[in-house]
Amino acid sequence: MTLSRRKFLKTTAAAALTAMAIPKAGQGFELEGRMSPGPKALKAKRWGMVVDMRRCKDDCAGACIKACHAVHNVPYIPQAEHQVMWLFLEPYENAFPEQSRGLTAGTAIKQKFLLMCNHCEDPPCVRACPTQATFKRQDDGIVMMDYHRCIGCRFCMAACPYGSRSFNFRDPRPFISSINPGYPTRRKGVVEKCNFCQERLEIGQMPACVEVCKEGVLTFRDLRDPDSTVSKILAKHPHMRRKPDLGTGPSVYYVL
Amino acid sequence: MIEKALHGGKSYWTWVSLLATGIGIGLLAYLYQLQEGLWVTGMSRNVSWGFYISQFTFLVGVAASVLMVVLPLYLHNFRAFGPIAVLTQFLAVGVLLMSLLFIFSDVGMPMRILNVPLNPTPWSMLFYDTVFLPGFLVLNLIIGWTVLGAEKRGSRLPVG
Repeated sequence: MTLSRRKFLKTTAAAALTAMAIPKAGQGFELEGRMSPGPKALKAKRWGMVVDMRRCKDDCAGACIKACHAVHNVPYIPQAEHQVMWLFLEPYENAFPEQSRGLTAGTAIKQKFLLMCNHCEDPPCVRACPTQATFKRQDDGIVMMDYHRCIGCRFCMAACPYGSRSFNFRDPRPFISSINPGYPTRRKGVVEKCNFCQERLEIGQMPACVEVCKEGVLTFRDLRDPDSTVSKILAKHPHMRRKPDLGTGPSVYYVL
Repeated sequence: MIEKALHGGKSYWTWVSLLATGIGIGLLAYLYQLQEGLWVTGMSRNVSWGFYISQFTFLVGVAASVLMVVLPLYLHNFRAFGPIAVLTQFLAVGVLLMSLLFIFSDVGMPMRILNVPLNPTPWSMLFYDTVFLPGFLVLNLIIGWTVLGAEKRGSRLPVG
């Protein structure tokens, strides 16, 4: 053996460089058939939601939440710490914690805020996911989940600054009162969240929460289109987004 | 080289069976978690990571400390670290096995763990953990084993 230290290090470095040059593994697994939206599909460059909190009343008993959770087979788990939530209500202090200090009894906002996944411009969950099971669609900005690829590491939950993601800590199926066959149920050990009703947009329907709200709280249109309803509302009324200073760029706007 | 581990007195075997009992209890607890879901660990919406991940990060730190001994020896030929290098490399094997098992037991879908190397995601931190740590483990096992074998033969050369 006449392998000098110098030569050994050289060979190792060369081998490492070669290994890095080998093209990405798994490229041969490309599927032939691709899902494509139907002819009636609703399209946008970037979907956005406006929540007009002035119109949101308590008297509908959370009809939008019920509709969303029924359409997507979201389980109702009695233990609060293991609940799965796509659309949920939180007090103002939890929705906008950095803008709630110094509110006195007279100025405090008592109304509960409707929260969901913000479908960020630069989603931190997508950066954290080790398998790309959560990803942002480049054509319309929807942040989606592949329930069949997710390994359940919960990195995305740690990354999401909005608490929009839920992990199935237990088997969700026994906790679904009636299963909607139009959307898959999940199993224990995967993460899920609001998907802006991507499966409904593809057949020309508005998101379930928007459709069921009779008060006109929710408006869902293209943020990039200056003539869309959301752009017009945002041009007219003062509005806020959750934790804008983090630079995630939420697509959900709140009008107060 | 494993033959030394198969001989020992009564106190040795008592110790080994004690450890084996601990491993057995852990395995049964893991099977229970696999069947019931991660709620049995006490983790929740608000505490989405718990002792599994904190143990993992601690043990990875211990594994990284091995480099402090191994790099001066192998790269800079600092011979004084020679005698303890084998010890530290087998320490790395132990802690890396544990830390990888902690990741494995923390994920909700362990049967899909190969999705990480199959979908390489260089911008995700967990990708590096699950790809580079097994590599470091294999390196330590091969090098540690070779160096120990050479030492047993009273030689400074890996082969012959």
